[in-house]
Amino acid sequence: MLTIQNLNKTYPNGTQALNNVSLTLEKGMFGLLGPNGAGKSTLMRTIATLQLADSGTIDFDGIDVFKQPQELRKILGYLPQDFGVYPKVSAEMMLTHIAKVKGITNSKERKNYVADLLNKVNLYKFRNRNLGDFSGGMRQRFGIAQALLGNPKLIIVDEPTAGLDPLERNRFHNLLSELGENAVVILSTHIVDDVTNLCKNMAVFNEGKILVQGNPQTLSDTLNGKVYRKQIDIAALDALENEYTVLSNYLRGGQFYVSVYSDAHPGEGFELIHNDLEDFYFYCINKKEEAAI
Amino acid sequence: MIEIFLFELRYRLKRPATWIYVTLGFAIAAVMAVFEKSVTAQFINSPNNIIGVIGPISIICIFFYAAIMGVPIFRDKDHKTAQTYFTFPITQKSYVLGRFLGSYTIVTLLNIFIVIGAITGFGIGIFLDRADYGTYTSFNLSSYLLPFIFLLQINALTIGALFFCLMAFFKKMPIIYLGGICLFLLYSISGDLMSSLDNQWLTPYLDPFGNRAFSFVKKYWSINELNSNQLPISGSFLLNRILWLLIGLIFFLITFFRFDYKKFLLSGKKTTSIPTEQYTPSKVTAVLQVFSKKTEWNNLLSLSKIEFLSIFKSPVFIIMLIIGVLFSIFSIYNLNETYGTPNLPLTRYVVMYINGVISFFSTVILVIYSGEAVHSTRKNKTFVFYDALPISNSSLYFSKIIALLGISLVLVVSNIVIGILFQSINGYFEYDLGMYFTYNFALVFPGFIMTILLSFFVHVLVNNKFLGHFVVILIYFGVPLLVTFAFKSSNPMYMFTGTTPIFLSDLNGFGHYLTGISWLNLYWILCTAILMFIGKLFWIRGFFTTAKERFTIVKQRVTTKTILPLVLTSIAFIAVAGYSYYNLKVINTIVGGSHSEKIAAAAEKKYAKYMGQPHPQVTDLKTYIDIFPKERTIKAKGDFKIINNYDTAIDTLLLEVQYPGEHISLQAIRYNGTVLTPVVTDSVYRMYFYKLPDAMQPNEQADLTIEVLAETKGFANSMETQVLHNGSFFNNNIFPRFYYERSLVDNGVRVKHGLEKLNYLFPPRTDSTALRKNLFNEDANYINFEAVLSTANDQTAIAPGKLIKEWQENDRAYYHYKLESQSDLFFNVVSARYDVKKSSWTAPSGKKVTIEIYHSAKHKRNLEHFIKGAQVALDYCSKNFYEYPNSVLRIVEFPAHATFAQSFVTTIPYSENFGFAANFDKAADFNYAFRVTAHEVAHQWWAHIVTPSKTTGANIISETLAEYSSLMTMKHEYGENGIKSFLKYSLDDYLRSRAFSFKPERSLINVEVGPHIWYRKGSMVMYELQDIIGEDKINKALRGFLNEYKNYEKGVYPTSENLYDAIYKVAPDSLKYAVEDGFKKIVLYENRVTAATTKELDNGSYETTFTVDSKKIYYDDTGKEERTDDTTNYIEIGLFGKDITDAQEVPLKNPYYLERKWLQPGENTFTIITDKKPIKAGIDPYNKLIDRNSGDNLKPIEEE
Repeated sequence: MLTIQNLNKTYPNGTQALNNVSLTLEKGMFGLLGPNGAGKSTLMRTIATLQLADSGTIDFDGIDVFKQPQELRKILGYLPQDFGVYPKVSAEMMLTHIAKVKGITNSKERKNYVADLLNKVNLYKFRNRNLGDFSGGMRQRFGIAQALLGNPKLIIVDEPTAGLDPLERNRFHNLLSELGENAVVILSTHIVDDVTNLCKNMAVFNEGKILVQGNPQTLSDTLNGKVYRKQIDIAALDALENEYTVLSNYLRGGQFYVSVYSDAHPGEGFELIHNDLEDFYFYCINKKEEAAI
Repeated sequence: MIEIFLFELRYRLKRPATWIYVTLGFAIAAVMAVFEKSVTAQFINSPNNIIGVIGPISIICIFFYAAIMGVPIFRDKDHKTAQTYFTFPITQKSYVLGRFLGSYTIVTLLNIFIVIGAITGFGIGIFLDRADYGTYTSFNLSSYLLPFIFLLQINALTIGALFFCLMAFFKKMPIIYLGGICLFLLYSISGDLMSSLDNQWLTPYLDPFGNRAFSFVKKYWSINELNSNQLPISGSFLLNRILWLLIGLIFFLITFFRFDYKKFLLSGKKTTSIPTEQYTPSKVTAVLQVFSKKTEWNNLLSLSKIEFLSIFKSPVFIIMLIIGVLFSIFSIYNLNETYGTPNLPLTRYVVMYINGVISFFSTVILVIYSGEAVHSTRKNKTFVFYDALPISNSSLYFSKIIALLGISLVLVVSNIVIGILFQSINGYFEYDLGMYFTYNFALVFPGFIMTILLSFFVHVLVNNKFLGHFVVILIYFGVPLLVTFAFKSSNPMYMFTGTTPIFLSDLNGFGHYLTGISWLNLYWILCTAILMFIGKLFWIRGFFTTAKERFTIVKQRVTTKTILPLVLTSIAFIAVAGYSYYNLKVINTIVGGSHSEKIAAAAEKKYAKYMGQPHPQVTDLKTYIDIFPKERTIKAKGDFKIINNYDTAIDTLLLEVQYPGEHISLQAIRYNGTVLTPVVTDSVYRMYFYKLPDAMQPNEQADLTIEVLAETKGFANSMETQVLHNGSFFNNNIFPRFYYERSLVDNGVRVKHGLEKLNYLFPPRTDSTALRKNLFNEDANYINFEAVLSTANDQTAIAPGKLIKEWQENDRAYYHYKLESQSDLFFNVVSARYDVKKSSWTAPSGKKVTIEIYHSAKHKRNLEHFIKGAQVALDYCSKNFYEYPNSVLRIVEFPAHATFAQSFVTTIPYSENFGFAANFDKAADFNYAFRVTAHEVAHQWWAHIVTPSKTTGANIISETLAEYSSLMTMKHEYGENGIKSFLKYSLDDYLRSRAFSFKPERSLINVEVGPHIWYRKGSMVMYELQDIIGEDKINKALRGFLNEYKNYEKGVYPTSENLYDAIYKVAPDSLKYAVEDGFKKIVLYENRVTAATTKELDNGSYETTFTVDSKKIYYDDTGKEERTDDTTNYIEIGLFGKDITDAQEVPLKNPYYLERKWLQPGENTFTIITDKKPIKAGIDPYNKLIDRNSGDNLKPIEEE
C-alpha cells in the first residue's frame, strides 16, 4: 500500500538524513526503530507531506505524495514528536475544527464524534480548557486525538508515548492496534518494547538507511544462541570491547553486565542468554558501526 | 558580582543586537542633527537645538532601553538557564546588581554614541552649503555633555530601572510594553498640559523624560537666551530630574531588595479545578467524510475564527486596545478645544481626534499581529501537525488575512463605539452615524487593509520576525520620507497608504473628496493585493530548508488557478494606477514646495523690474459671478473702471493670476471695447502682458472687462476649497492683479536662490510713494463696488454690499449687491445652503443697521454671541470713532478647511470651526465668538475706513486697533476682571512666540511679520495705555487719527508713526514714557512682592506693610539685555481679600486697596490700612505689564 522508493535527502549542513530509502508497507502496525538523529523524523515528515525529498518517490494507494499532497492529507493521521497548539483555543473547538477540515460535514455527527474522541483520549472533562493551559501529557493526548480523527488510512506517529504515564500509554497502544487493523500505521520510536508489543513488521533505521526490515520476532530469532552475557568489572569494559562485539552494557542489581554477540561461545564467564529484540536492535546498529570502521 | 557584571558586558558586546542599537542611535542622532533647521536668528546648533535633537531621541530609545534593560533577567528564564544559574553559589543581590550594572553600562555606551552622532550630524551640517537652513555657532562641549547626563543618562537609569523591575516581578514582555506606553502617556499628557495656562505647573512633575520640563522652563526665553543658555540645572528642570531619578532608584531598590529567584522560577500557572463529569459515549462508528468546495469554505471560516481568537484573546492585544481607547479619550478631551474653550463634541471632531490617536495604536497592533500571524504557528510548532491536515494552501494562507481583517474591523468598530460613548457622556446626542460609518469605513478601514496586506507579505517573504517589522517600518515611514526629501514629491501614489486630502465639515460633509480618496484607496489595496497573491506562492507549509526548495515549491504553485487572480489584480491595479495618475498628474499637477520656490525665485529675477512701475488702478468694479457648486466651476466677469494715477503714461497692461486653483483661464480681456491678446505669456508663473491700443495718459480713465473661467478637473492632490458642493468661499483674487509683487520673504530661501536679503519687507515710513499705496492691494484706492451673483437654486450667494435685488432665472438664484460706502479692492464671495438669523442695531443718528448671521442649519447654538459681539462693536466704534457707513453687517459661515474669520466690508466670513461649534456654557471660559466678532467688526473701521499704508509697521493700524476696540467692548461687557483671562492668554502667547520671531523681534511700531506682536503685545500695550492715560483720551486721539486719514481723503495712507504720534500727543508728559516703551521699545518688567505682613489695629482695621521689587529691562531685537531702567514707573499695587465669584461663578479678585504708584527701580515699601484683613499683596496684580514671571506678582500676607 505504501511504497517508498529511493528516497534521498541531504540537509544544507551536509547531514544525509535519508540515504536511498526504499520501503513497502501493508496494512498493520509498522515499527521504525532507530537512535536519536537517525533520520526517522525526516522520513516521517516526508511521508506526511511536510517536507520535500531531493529524489525518490512515495506512493500510497495510488497517491503520489509529492505531486498530490492534498490527497494524501485527506487520509493521513500524523502525530509529530514535538508540536505546538493554538494556546487560546479550547480542545473541543480545535478538534471540531480539525474534524471539519477532515471533511466531517454533518454537524451533529461531528459533535458526537469529537466528544467520543475526547473521551477516548481521556480529555473529555478538559474539553473547554484552552490548549495553552494543558500539561505536557494532556497536550500529547490531544495530539493523539487529532491524529486519529477521521479514520485515517495512513497513520504516522512519532515518539507517541513520550510524556504519557503507563496507564495512558496502554490506553493509547490499544487504540492504535485497533486502528492498525484497517490502516497502515507507522510507529517511530526508540523504545524497543513498544515495537515488540505492537508491530508485526518493523525496520531498524540508522544514519538515513534502513538496516533491516522484517517481523520483530523473526528478526530477533536470527540471533538465537548467539548472545552471551557476562558480569565484569567496569574497568574491563574497554578491553572487552576490543575483543568482542559488545551489544550493550547495563547494571542489574548493582552488578555490571555486558551482552556480546558471538557465533561461538565467547569463552569463560559468558553465559548464553534468552535474547530479545533489543539485542537485535543493538546488533544491527553496532554492525553498521563496524562496517564503517 | 564583578563576574556577573563582566559576563553581562561580554555577552552584550558579542551580541549583534547591541551593535545594531548603537548604530541606530548614532544614525538617528546624526540624521536629526544634519536636518536641524532654524528659520529664526537662533543658531542651528544652539544649546536649545542640541537638546531638541538629543531629548526626543531619549524617547525613541524607550525601545532600546526596554530591549537592553528589560531582558537580562527575562533572558535567564527564556533560555531556561535560570534553573541552573540560580543553583550556582551567587547571592541574589549580586546577581541583580551585576545584571543591572552590566546592562546600564551598555545603555551608557548607546547614549555616548547618540551624543557622538549628534556632534557628527551638526558637524556635517556645517560643511553643507545650505543657506536656507540658518547659521551655526562654534562647538561647545557642555551643550552636549549636559543633555547627555541630565537627559540621556538619567532617562536610561529611570526607564531602565522601571523595565528591569517590571520584568523581574512580572516576567512578561507585555508588561514592558505596558510600562513603556504608560511613560509615553505621561509624557504626552505633560505636553498637553503645557498649553493650558492653569495646569501647566504640573508639567515638570509628570514628564518622565525631562524634555517637557525643559520646554516649560524655556517657555519665555528670547532667541538670545536660546542661543547662549545651557540646559539649566536648576529650578523646575532640576526638580523634574531629581524626582524621576528618585523614582528610578526606588524601582531599582525594590528589585534589589525584593527580588527572589525562587518566586521567579515558579511558573504562574493557576491550578484550576478539574470537573468530574462522566461521559456516555455515543458510539459513532462510521463518519462520512466529504471533501468539497463547500467544506473548503467552511474550513477557511473555521480556521479564520481560530486565528482571530488567537489574536483577540491575547493579553498584549487587549492591553494595547485598552490603552489606545484611554489615550484617545484623554486626547479628545484635551484637544477638542479652541483658545482653551471646549468645542462641542461634534461627530466630525470626535471621529478625527479619536482616530488620530487610535489609528496609531491600530497600525502598531496590525503590524505586530501581521508578523504574529505569519510566525506564531511556526514558532510554537503548531504547523508541525497542522500543515499535514487536508486543508488547502489557500485556506491556510487566507485564514490569517481574514483573521487580521477581523481584528481591524474590531478596531474600526471600537473607533465608532468610543466616539458615541464620548458624545453620550458629554450629553451630546446628535450622533451623525452616517459620518461615523463613512469616515471609518471609507477612510480608516482601507488603510488598515493595506497595512495588513503589506506587513503580511513582508513577513512571509522575509521569514524573520524582527527583520520583517523593520522592513515594514522602513516602507511605512522611510519611503514617504525618501520621496518627500530626496524626490521632493508629495504625490500620494508614492507614499504608502497615501490618499488625496480631505477635511470634514458640517456644511460640506465629505464634499467631493471621497472620489479621489476612494480611487487611491483602491490603488493601494490592489497594490497590496498583488503582494498578497505573490506572498501566497511563497507561503511556507511544512519544513523547507533551502532557498532552492522554497523556489521549487513556488514553481510548483504557479498554476493557472493561482496566477489568474494575480494577473487580474495586476490588470486592475494598472488600470486604477493609470486613472489616478491621469487625474493627479496629467489633468492636475502636483508641485513640491521647493519647486514652487524655484518658480517664484525665477519670476522675481525676471519681473522685479516691474515693481513700483505705474499700472492702472481701479475706481469702480461691477462684477458678475456665476457659481456652479455641483460642477465646482466659477464664471466671473469684472467690469472695471480704471485710471492712470501716475505721472507717466502706461502702455502695457500686466496681469498676474492670483487664484489658488490651477484651472483658471482668462477668457477675454477688453480694453475700452477692444479685445486684447497677450504679447508675452508666462503660463508657469501665470503672468500675462498686454499692449494697450493707446498708451494710458496720466489721469486718463478707461473701461476694462476681464472674463475668467475657474474650473476643477477630476480629482487633485489639493483640497481646492474655493468652490465646494456646499460652502464656496473665494475673494477678489478670482481676478488677476495689475502689478507684480515678490513672494519669497525668508532670507535663507532667498540667498539659496541667489536673491538679495531683505531686512524689511515693506518700504520705510519715509517712502512717499509707499504712502500712496494701501497695504492690502495696490490695484486701487477706494472703489465703488457692485456684484451680481448667481448660484444653485438652493444656495445663497453673498458678496459685500446691500442686497438690492434677488431673483430666480433658469433654475438658478441671482443676487445683486451694491456697496453703500467706498472700499478698498477687497471683496469675497460665499455660496452655501444657509439658515439666516437676523437682528439689528440702531446708530446714535437713528440709522438702522441689519445684522445677519448666515449659518448652517446645524449650528444654531451660539448665534446670540455673534450678534452681541457685532452690536457691541458697532456701538462702541460708532460712538467713539465714526458712524458705521453701511446699513448691513453679515457674518457668514464657511466650511472648516481653515480656522479664521476675516473682515470684508459689511461681510465677515467665519470658519464653522471658529465659534459656531464651541461650547460657551461655562462662563469662565473665554467667549471668543463674542470677542472675535467684535475684533472683526472693528476692522470695518480699522482697515476699511482707515487703511494702513504699505510701510513698515503700518499693519498695527489694522490689527492692534481692532484688537484694542474689541478689548474695550469686552471691558464694558464683562468688566475689568473679565478680560483678565484674555490678557493672560495674550501675555503668554506673546512671551512664548518671541523665540519664534521669523525676523528679529521688532518693536510694535516696526512690526511686519508677527501676529504675537500686533495682536498680543499690541493688546497688552494698548490696554495699559488706556488704563493709565484714560480710555476717553485714547479714543479722542484715535478719532482724530481716523478723521485725518479716513477713506484716503488726505491722499496718503497712515503709518504706524502717525498712530504713535496721535497717542503720544494725548499722553501727559509724565506718562509719555509708557507710549514710547510700548510702541518703540522691547520692554520686560520683573515685578514681584518680596515681603508682606499685616497686623490688626486697635480699631479692628488692619495695617499691612509690604515691599515690592520693580525692575524694567530694555532688550534689543535678538533678546539681548540692553539696559535696566533707572527711572520711576507708574505701576499698580494692591491688597486683596479672598477671591469672590460672580453670578456666573467666575472667580474674581477682591481688592481692598488698589492704586497706581510711582515706583522706584528696586524695592519700594508701603504701609496701608484697610478695614478688612487682606490675604494677598500684589504689584501689577492684574498682569497688565509684560512680565515673564507673573506668578510672583501676588504674595500671601503673613500675620504678625
